Amino acid sequence: MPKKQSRNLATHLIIVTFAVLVLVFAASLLVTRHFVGQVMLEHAQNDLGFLAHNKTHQIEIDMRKLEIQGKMLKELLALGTLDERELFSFIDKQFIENNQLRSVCIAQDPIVGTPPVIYQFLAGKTISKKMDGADYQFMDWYQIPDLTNWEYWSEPWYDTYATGRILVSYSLPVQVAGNRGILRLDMPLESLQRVAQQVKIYKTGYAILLTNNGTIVTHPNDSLLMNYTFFDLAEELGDPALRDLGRKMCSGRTGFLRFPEQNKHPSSWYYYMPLQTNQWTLAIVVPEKELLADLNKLLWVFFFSALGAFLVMSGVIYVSSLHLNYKMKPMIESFTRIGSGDFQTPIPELPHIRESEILGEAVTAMQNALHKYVENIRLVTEEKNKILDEVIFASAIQRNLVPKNTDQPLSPGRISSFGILEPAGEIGGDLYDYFLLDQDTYCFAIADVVGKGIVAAMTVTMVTTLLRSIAPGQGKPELILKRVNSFLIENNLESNFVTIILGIIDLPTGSMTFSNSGHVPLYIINPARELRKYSETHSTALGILKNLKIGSERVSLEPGDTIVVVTDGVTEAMSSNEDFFGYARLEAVLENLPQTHPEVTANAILTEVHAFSNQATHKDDISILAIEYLGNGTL
Amino acid sequence: MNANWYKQLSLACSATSLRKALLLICSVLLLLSLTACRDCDTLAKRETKSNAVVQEDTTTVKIRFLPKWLHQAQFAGVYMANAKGYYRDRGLSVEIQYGGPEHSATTSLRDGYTDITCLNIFHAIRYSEQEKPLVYLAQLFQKNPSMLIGKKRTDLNSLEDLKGKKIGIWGGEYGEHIQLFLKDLDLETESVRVNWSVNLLLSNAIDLSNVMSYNEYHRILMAGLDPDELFVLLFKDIGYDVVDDGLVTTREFYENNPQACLDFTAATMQGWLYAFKHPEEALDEILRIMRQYHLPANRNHQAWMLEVIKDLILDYPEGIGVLSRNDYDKVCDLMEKHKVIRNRIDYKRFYPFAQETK
Repeated sequence: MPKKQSRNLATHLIIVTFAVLVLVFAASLLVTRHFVGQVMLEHAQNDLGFLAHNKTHQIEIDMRKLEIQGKMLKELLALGTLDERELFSFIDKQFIENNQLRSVCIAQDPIVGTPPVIYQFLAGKTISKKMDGADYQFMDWYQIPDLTNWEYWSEPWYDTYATGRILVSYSLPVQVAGNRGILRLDMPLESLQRVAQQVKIYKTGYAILLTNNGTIVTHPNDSLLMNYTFFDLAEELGDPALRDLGRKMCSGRTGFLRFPEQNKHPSSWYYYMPLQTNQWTLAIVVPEKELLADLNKLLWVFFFSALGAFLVMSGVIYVSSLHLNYKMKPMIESFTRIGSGDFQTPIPELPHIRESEILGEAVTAMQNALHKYVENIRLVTEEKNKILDEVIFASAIQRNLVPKNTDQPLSPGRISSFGILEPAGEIGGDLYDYFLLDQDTYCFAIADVVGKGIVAAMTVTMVTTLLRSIAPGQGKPELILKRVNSFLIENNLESNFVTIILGIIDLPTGSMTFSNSGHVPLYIINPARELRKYSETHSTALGILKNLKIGSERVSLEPGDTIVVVTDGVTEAMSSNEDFFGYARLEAVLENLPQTHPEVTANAILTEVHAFSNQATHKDDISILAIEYLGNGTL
Repeated sequence: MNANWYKQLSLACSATSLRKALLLICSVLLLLSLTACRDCDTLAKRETKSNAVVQEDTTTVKIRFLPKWLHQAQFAGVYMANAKGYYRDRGLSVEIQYGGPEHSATTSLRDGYTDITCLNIFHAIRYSEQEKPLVYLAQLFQKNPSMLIGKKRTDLNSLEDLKGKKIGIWGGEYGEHIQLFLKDLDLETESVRVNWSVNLLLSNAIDLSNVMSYNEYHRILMAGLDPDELFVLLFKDIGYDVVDDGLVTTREFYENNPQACLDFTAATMQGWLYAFKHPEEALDEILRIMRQYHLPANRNHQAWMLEVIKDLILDYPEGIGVLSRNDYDKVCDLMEKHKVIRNRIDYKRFYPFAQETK
């Protein structure tokens, strides 16, 4: 795994600071935008509301005048006291008092048969004329108040009869000379448009004036005027939301709402309110971008301030880090040397920073602890080496206790022996031995002490010594082993379980008596490679039971017979597949010996065991003893 | 053969293949001049006249066409036939006059102010029987676009609710057939004559108003009322699925200029097909004319009108421009029932381009 490249302190601090600053900045930006935006919108609503009220008031001044004049004239007509000249004079005065009054029409029910009279103020004087040949009774200004009996403000209409202008008319039912009729007072649409058109707010804010039917009377796009309704515009743009906005605006209510960006029109805020006189709608429209321009400026200032703060902070962190690094450089070098094993490296003077002082103290403490630890290791190692030397010495002693294969003068011509002892460690827990009890009696033994190491080796040493010392007087293997067992029980040794085969051969006769105390079987192979296996044990291992009964077995040896005894290090040798070498493989080796010479036999067994077992995992001592009975010295 | 072109044209149109229809028009028009009106009494005269027109191919026949109303998409076929040169190609010089409420179509025909106009078939039949014989040249609107519209409310939800309601009906020739429908329904309603303004309805001066699907209905929607806020009664849905506007001329003009009438009719229908196939171009032309006459030029509204009229003109199996005997009889039956006419004019005399269909 590749080592992750570490960052220096300055980079780390700058990155962490930047990340934290971005989060804090973004959060405060959103919070600021929300709350300040709310406040600005409230202010904008107030400002636009004030403007809209102001403009509707301006628009309605002339309309209200018209209404008052209409109602006065209605009263006069109802009284029926005015003659034609007085009526003319009154209307003339009305033109002078209200310069937005363009014409007055008094129309009687067509049943009366009197055509409507139109009064106009032209070139500074009032004129009147009759309106002939027109189906006036089917015109909105007449028919709607006539049918509803209510006063009526008309939609804008083009007056082809008198003024030739687009008018907005106020009509109201009247009684003229006792007949039902309609009185109409007209003002030019342009007088209403003019006020709305003057609205300039923010950079591109504007006003829209809509009639009851949604007809656009004032709008920055001149082609829409008196031509499109707001709903036409919505339909042409395929924008249902715009239609909804139109319905809200024409609902006769006051509102302030946002219309999102659509059809290339920026998102805008609409403040709308109705005119009280005719329920038309005046809407002030301001693009949101302009409405919140100050907020956006504030946010930019905020952004650049934060950016500047970050840059300054980054610079300060970087310089501080460099300074700190400079001061900590000797400390880092010192620590590096300590890390590479030079524990005696002195700790330099540390910067007066609490953390570095703590670090220095910790390193000094660690240095001392390491020093003590290393000293301990050295002492332990010395002790260990001393013990090892002693073990090696003990091993040498142990090896000296085992008969040397070159020492064959025990009974030349009558018996030949070859033994192998291969301890798992420096010293082992196995033993084999052979010696003459007298000129005609040959004794051999092979044993395995349960356990390993020094204790097992000492037991082996003691058992070997004991065997040599007690065997000559006993004559029988079971007696010798009983003495060994008693010795082991009495001395309560740490490793006192011993498996052993001990045999005594009467050389002249070839009669062999042996006892097997818990040991692996004994084999006898003749020159024809015929194998006899003696697997019966004559007791359990020695050192377990105080009053151990030990039996024995007598076997007659023929000249050329070879006795083979091994320890369980041979049969329990384990392969890498965790298979045991076992008796079958041992027997196969014996049956296939090229010759039955003891050395060949012992080495053949060892070679096979080595070949079979996994040397790395071989943990047990191996002992092999092969004894060839040659006969009574006549061979 | 003379009327087969209508049928073939209609089949092409019903397959919504306007391109094919246009090609068909070009080919059949060559045959028209030789085969038109072979069966009718006027054949001899017409052929003579036709030959005269052919012989005078260097001189154009002048035709004055009066739209029954102000310039709008309702007459797009005529505008496009003129703009695309379909009239000129047939040796016609068509003057499109200024119509509207102050220029009554029938009065103009009677006074010789105009040669060809369009009229509602009811009005054309009555006028022809009672005042001056007319000839029906083509049936434009194959479906009836008349509607009654009111603001939906608790006491205005069904046909029966019309009882006692104030219903605004157009005056004069424009509202005649509506009056007939209402009489036939036998509902006690209060008819109020109105002059095409939707403001009476919008200001609640009347309960319902007589409107056309291609015109006033849209203006009501464009005043902010949603369809689900309206009580809508389509006459065609309550048994009055009778045809509406058609092209008419005086018998006198027809007999003097049968080929020119046929050419005018064919070119006009060709103009309609062109307008339907190229609506944006047609709208440009319509708005140009409207602006020329200083009329409010609302493209959105004209687009609606053209689209609705497309359905009125094209969606009919008998064929574009064809007045079927069945449709003619249906109208005459209703008029006779209400004694508006006494002597039904022979179908083929009223509509000389008739071709019986099976």
